[in-house]
Amino acid sequence: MWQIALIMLFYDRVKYLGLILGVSISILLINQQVGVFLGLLLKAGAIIRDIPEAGIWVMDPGLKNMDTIFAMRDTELGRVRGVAGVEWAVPYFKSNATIRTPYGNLESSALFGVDDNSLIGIPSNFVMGSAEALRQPEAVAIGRDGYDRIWPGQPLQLGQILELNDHRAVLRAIVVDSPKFTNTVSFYTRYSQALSYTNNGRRQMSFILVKSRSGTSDREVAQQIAKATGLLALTSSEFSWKMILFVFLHTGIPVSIGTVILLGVLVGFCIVGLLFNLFVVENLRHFAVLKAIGTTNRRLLGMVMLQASVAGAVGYGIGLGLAALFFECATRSPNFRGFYLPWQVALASGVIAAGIILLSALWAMRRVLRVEPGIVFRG
Amino acid sequence: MLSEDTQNQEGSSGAEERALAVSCRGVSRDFGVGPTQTRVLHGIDLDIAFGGQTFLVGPSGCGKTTLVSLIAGLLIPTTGRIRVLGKDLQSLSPASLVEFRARNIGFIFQQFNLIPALNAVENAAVPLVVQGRSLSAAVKLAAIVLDRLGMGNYLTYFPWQLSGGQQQRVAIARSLVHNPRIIICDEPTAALDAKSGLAVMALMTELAASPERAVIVVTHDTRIFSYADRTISLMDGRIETSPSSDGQAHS
Ligand SMILES: Nc1ncnc2c1ncn2[C@@H]1O[C@H](COP(=O)(O)OP(=O)(O)OP(=O)(O)O)[C@@H](O)[C@H]1O
Ligand SMILES: [Mg+2]
Repeated sequence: MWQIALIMLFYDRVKYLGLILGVSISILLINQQVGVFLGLLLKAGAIIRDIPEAGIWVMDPGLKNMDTIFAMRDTELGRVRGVAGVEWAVPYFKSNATIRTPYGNLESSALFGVDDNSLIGIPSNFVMGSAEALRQPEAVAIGRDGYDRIWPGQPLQLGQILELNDHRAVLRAIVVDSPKFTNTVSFYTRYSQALSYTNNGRRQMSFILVKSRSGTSDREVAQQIAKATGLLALTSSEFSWKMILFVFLHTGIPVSIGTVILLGVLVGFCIVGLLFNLFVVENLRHFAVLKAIGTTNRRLLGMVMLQASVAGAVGYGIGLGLAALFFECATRSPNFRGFYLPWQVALASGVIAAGIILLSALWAMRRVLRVEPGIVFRG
Repeated sequence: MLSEDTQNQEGSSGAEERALAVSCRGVSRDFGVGPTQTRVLHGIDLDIAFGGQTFLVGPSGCGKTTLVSLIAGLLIPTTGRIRVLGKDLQSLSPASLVEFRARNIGFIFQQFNLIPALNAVENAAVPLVVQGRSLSAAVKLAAIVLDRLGMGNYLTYFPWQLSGGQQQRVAIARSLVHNPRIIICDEPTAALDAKSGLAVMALMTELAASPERAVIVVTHDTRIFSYADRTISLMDGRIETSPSSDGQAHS
């Protein structure tokens, strides 16, 4: 009977395609939107992830997110270094900078300044050049995506002269860094060099990066630092969550993405539910004939369930394929790098698709159960 | 097993009934509830033996379709008892009634009722698939039956590609393919022109009628009356004359 069920399903091409379309649109929207959202959340903690050496981040208690930084006095560094359990503490500078491209355009960028001695905070993955090259005067490193933004379509090369906030900078290295929430272009340089590119007055130090001694926990040391200095000291994972929470609470992103997902599910439900119901209603007489010929209700329900499941499975596959294609293509652009499709989301969307299918099938099944086989004698 | 024991205790009349294809005793059927309730069949007593074609005739609305629906187990009588192939239909559970129908009864309808998604041979194969055979095995057997009905060249045609007469031949194949002991036809020729109607009845007589089988034909198509071996007349839900051998069946 299952073959007959499938022949009946495929025969009604318009509705079959409609069912597939309904499911696949839902699946595509869910996966695409959730993937983009998770990608954004990941970007919120990108800077933190790029410096795995630093277990603790110290900052001004007023800090909200990476773009509104309250800088600290340089003297705080010494106080943090004096806290028991601190193995090392280095300054870290972050600011926005304007760069004039070789073509005369202005581009906004993020400028990171790292400890002159240790160079802790430079991404460790170098495409060209090395950390040592940054010790030269006016030396900067650029993130890989930023390079493409400023010199689009050009081969990677070093030695170019740039204008950073109207100051001269020489490109000495290209690094791979995580995509940031706002800026595509990131420059890395020594702390002292970064200060010379910007003029932030007395308070200049954005963060203090700390590593705790072995045998102590980051959490405890962070508490010690906070107590001793009155600054905010967070472990790197706490800091990441703070940034993610900021996106959740203070941007419209979760609401707008949630709305799209909800609409996707709703539209999927309506299309699939109505179409499948229509399919069953149009085939009701044939189900009645099968009933008269001796098909049990259980068999008929199995047929209906199979028809719904096959349409759902095909739609799910296509939707997921389209979502994967989106991420595959979109992430080729630097603007979208870092977006991905977690398997957990794919799985969860499969559960939603199954729910859509199950409810639609149950709705339509009532009719199949109720149809009187006696109607087969009527015209 | 148990049912046969009980039947034996019923004595000679039970044994007689078992030799019959269909036996109805005091069967009536109501439709509607409350003030709209109407009795469509009134205390029908009826025996149909194996062999030949029994015609059920009468004016429109007299209850012919209702009666064969009861015999097929598609409806349940309001009062009375129906035995088919010696089985008391009311004693069967809903599931075993469906199974009983699948094994023992073939249907031919006025509107053919072929499934449009299936081609001719797949349509004819449906009862075998319902009985649990694979579609491919069922199709092989159905092709043989269709061939005997002169439809060998149309096996893969879809219903909409076939004429009414051809569709009804596919329906005949479907009613025969599982070799049921009872075939119920409700107005099998009403949707056909005279020539196709007569051709269909000729095929029915040749292929369906057998001493092992009872064929019940509901009709008011006078053109085909000559194919009746017996005729039962129904009038306002009552049998008009006791079932009589027609005698002058076509030769
Ligand atoms: N499901 C039903 N509900 C209510 N009334 C019904 C139902 N089925 C049949 N009837 C009534 O029972 C009566 C007999 O109907 P039936 O279909 O058995 O007649 P028939 O002899 O087959 O007529 P025809 O020759 O026109 O097919 C009719 O008056 C009809 O309206
Ligand atoms: Mg009728």
